[in-house]
Amino acid sequence: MESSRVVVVGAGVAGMSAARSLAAAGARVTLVEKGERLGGMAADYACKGTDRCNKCNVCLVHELVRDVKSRPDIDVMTGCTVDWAEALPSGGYRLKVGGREVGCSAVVLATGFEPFDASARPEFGYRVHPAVVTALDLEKALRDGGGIGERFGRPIGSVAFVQCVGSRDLQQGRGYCSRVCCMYSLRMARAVRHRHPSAEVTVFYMDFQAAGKDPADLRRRAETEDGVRFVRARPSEVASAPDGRAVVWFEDLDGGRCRPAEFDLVILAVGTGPGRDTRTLADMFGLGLDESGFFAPADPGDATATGVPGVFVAGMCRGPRDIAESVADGERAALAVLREEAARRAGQRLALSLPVGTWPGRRVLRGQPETIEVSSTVLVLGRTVEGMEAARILSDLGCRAVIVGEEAHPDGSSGLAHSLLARVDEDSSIDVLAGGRLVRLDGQAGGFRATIEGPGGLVSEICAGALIVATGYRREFPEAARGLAGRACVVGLSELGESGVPWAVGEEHRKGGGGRRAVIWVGVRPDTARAVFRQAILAALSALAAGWEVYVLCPEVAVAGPGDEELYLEARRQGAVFVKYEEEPEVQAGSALRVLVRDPCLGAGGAGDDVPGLLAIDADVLVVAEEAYPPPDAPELARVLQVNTGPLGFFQDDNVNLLPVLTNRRSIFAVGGCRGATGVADAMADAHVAAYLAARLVGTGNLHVDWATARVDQDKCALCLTCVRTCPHRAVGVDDEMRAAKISRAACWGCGVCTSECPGKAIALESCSDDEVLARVRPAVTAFCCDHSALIAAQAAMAGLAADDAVGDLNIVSVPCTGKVDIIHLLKAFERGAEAVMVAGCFDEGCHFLSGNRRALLRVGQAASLLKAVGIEPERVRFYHVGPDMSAAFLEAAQETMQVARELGPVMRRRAG
Amino acid sequence: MIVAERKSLDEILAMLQGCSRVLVVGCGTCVTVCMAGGEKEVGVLASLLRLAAQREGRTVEIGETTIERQCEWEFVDGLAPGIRGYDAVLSMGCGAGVQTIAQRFGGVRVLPALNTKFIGIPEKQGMWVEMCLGCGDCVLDRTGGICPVARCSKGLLNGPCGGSQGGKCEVSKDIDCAWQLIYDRLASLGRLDLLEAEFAPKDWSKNRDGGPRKVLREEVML
Ligand SMILES: Cc1cc2nc3c(=O)[nH]c(=O)nc-3n(C[C@H](O)[C@H](O)[C@H](O)COP(=O)(O)OP(=O)(O)OC[C@H]3O[C@@H](n4cnc5c(N)ncnc54)[C@H](O)[C@@H]3O)c2cc1C
Ligand code: SF4
Ligand code: SF4
Ligand code: SF4
Ligand code: SF4
Ligand code: SF4
Repeated sequence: MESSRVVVVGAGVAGMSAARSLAAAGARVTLVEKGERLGGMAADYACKGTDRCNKCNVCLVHELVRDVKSRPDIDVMTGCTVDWAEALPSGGYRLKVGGREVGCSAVVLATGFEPFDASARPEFGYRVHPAVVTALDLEKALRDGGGIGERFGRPIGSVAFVQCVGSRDLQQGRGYCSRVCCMYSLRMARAVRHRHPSAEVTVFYMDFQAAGKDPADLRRRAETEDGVRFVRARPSEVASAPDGRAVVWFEDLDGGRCRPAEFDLVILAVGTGPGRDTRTLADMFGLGLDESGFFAPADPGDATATGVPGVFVAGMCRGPRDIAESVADGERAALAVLREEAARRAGQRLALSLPVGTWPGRRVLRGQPETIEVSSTVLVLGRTVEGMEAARILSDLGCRAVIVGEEAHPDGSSGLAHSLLARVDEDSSIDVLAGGRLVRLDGQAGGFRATIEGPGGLVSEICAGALIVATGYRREFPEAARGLAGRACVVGLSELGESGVPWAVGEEHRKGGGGRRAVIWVGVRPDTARAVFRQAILAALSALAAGWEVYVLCPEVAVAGPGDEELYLEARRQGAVFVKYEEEPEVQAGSALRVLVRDPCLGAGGAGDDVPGLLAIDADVLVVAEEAYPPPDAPELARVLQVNTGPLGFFQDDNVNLLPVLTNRRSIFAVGGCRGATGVADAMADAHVAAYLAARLVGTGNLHVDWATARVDQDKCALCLTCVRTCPHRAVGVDDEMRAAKISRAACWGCGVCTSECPGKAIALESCSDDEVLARVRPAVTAFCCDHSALIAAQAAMAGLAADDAVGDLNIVSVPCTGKVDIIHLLKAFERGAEAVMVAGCFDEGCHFLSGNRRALLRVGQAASLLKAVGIEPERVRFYHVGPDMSAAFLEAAQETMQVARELGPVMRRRAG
Repeated sequence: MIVAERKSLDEILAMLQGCSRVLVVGCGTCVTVCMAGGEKEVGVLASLLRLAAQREGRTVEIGETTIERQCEWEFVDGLAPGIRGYDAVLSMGCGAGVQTIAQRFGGVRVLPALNTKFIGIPEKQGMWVEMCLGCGDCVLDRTGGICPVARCSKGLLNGPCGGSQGGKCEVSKDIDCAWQLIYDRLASLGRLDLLEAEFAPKDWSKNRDGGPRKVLREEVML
């Protein structure tokens, strides 16, 4: 792509991600931003870390901004937009941008969204009542640090979040769910409680839309650890109380009356709407919009394509999605651009030209450049739809793919599975080892040696540069319904197939004649609800169409996917009854199917009822939505791959930096069901991103490593295996010939954790050796700052300070990861005269190198107890969690450390007399 | 592997009383692997000694070096240049290392920084357990590869005592009963018959009884 230029419009996370990815693949990129700064909406948000990372992903934005700024191959133009566009006969466009004409082969539109203007709902009192603010206001307040109460000039004894403001609201012409507000409110609720432990927090919500990493766990923590109260109600009005507090009027579920509740501060969780320029741009490029006004996809399978050659869309501008999804979308759009480019060139396979960069292309220290020969074969584990799709894309990108695994998972998308099976069969670049199983993996990124056990115990070895894990998931009735499996008249939702359920299915299961009543029970975990719920509603709709009476039982209605709210409303309109239960339904034993469930909305009232709101539904068919579980062999496979799994046992660590398809090991990717992304659309998106990343890494057969890596001085190595065990990325192996540890340059992420763990001091990180770190330690209070979090905050904090109100002589020493901080560095700082030392880095579970910050925390604890042992106050050494946007928190930490230094004075005691 | 653990700083500081020039010597083999006395621990201890002195307003000179193995004359020889300039040598090797240095350099005060604990393995990163007592008369062939001498708290040879409860030793519930382990292992090997043979009282003359032990092999001698 030497000569081609791509123009990316909008420098939010989606645009920046696309620009970075395209530049890494060798394109010249112009990034056009209307505003004055990069980052889009999310640049104003706050890290919502409390005692731990709450997975809001805001830290990724700040890093992305820095990455993009530091790339010479991205030409950034701020304060301008595309004034006009002209399609060129040869393909591509000529654009007028900020008074300049720019020729390009493709355009990526990533113009984002417009938050709902809360004053359009005057009954909520925004801008009228001083106690009412929006979530955006709260984001900024949290980011700026200090007290939230002071910020808004209010007491903050009680706080309410009002969800769905400007979402799921047909009166406002916004009949869709904004997808992100439930999670941001949940995280902000935690952050508020953390900063103001005495504040009582209530969330008024309709349905909880779970997304991101382990949402159920976050919600549980919010409820049990923080005491956040979730009230299912849609407030109708926020009024003023005489004492200046705000009164939220909401409909009480028990009794259905409208009730008031008073709060000191009310936060309106504003929704997301199409960006201001969407229509203009659509007209300019001839694109379609969906009914909500977002860019509409031309082909759901290739969601970032628009149907207009050379024009692609990414991020919020094509519908609500969170930061992680927007970053992934940027990658997908970049892939789509490259694929189109390749197709244009006489239908040739895309020969990826240039360096791969690391992905996510985080800033890394530079190291000795080296080109490593790698295998361009990619091993795909699992013949699932996502696995086959990944193989197909890899083949397009010029890689050989080998698929190993069982038959395709019957995925409720059998049409898709069949066409993929056929496609994979006829492709000469794709080999299939049916029924094979990975039993051993040696080697490292670029040069894996996989041992595959085939049917009948046949063992073969495959060399591969990268691996894509696509082993799918296991489907089973949820715990509460497990006993029903196999019972007459009970079917699994997935057995009903895709849309257009043949409701004749009911006929087979029906006993006798009589009523035709179906109960659809969606009792799955929140993280899988989104994928399943749509299917449930489609099933409901087709049952209704066939004249059935339908009840849908679920703890929450999951409507965050595109078009889902409309479907849900349609089902309701057609008479489906939705029961949002709190206690699991009970299915009575006996010949007939009787489902007992309590509907909290029906409340008490009904005289004579023993249990208020209890419904007894005699059903002809009970459809149970299956829960997704990791495949049974996941633990074993994870062990063989040395890949971390998350809390539910799905692949992928729980760390925010591994979104969406990365694992802790470079060039091993996890896609689709095996990482918990069970929806077909999500799985396809994963497959695209992973195939693209794998191809970028190994597709040319050469991997250009220019990042700093750690190296072992093999003469000094005692082969204690500490580095092998502690490397978060499993980049260390044993060099049998040298009888010493050996680090793979291709696999090493350059965190430096191993260097500070090695008991023989036999490992050094390029560009950041111990001597280099120590050379920066001078006699002053010292702050070791993680380059990816605290350093960014520190720089922002220092830039905002006048020289004389600076925190004093604070010596900031940057390290790639706090895990690089050796206990010796800490002690040496004291030896050299520091009165106090702080280490500041990412939140727990938010570490860029997964576990470096935990090592650092242990190191600081160890230093404190050693200092104590020689009579020095342990509080002189301190650890702080500081996100990249938390300059205020950094200042607080620095001031606290300086205060300790002042109070305790020098370590060195003058000799008496 | 020899497993050792650093002495408390109080103890080390007490034995260094009055020394202002100290050489801390690490050992690059066993104690590096068990993280008690490799180059890194030398750096940590040296730093702490300097800080302790600073705290008291004393000036000290602490040298740092790590040699391949403190229990070999050739490696220890490498310490010769300069060693006599120190008031004391603080060895971070095991007891063998301390003594080798002491024996090689008459007149130099050599002090142990570690407590040498046992022959063992890292059961997991950061946790080491004893496996072998060096009894001089190995019985593992008869006990399924699990050592009752080292791993039974009482060193019993003919099955467990009455304190074996649910697989745990009565000394502490953190200790597996060695005889339970032996039984389970032999059962899984189908060799419970081995338990029928009686162990004669152990011949401790092969251990401490005969005084310091010696292994002599003429065929490899020079
Ligand atoms: C209150 C609130 C809180 C949120 N909190 C979180 C959270 O904690 N975690 C999370 O994951 N998500 C959160 N989100 C969602 C998050 O904001 C989006 O996922 C993210 O901003 C989408 O990025 P984007 O790049 O698609 O769009 P945007 O961030 O909107 O960026 C679009 C960029 O394009 C520019 N632009 C627009 N039009 C033009 C034009 N014509 N020419 C040139 N440039 C143009 C804009 O100036 C902007 O810089 C939150 C949303 C809201 C409303
Ligand atoms: S560390 Fe990152 S993901 Fe975690 S809470 Fe902070 S900004 Fe959000
Ligand atoms: S239900 Fe949808 S629109 Fe309403 S707050 Fe939750 S995510 Fe936002
Ligand atoms: S930690 Fe150090 S001594 Fe141990 S194996 Fe790794 S390089 Fe060798
Ligand atoms: S610990 Fe970090 S620096 Fe060391 S090998 Fe692993 S990735 Fe590389
Ligand atoms: S001196 Fe001790 S610790 Fe060092 S190599 Fe010899 S036996 Fe091992």
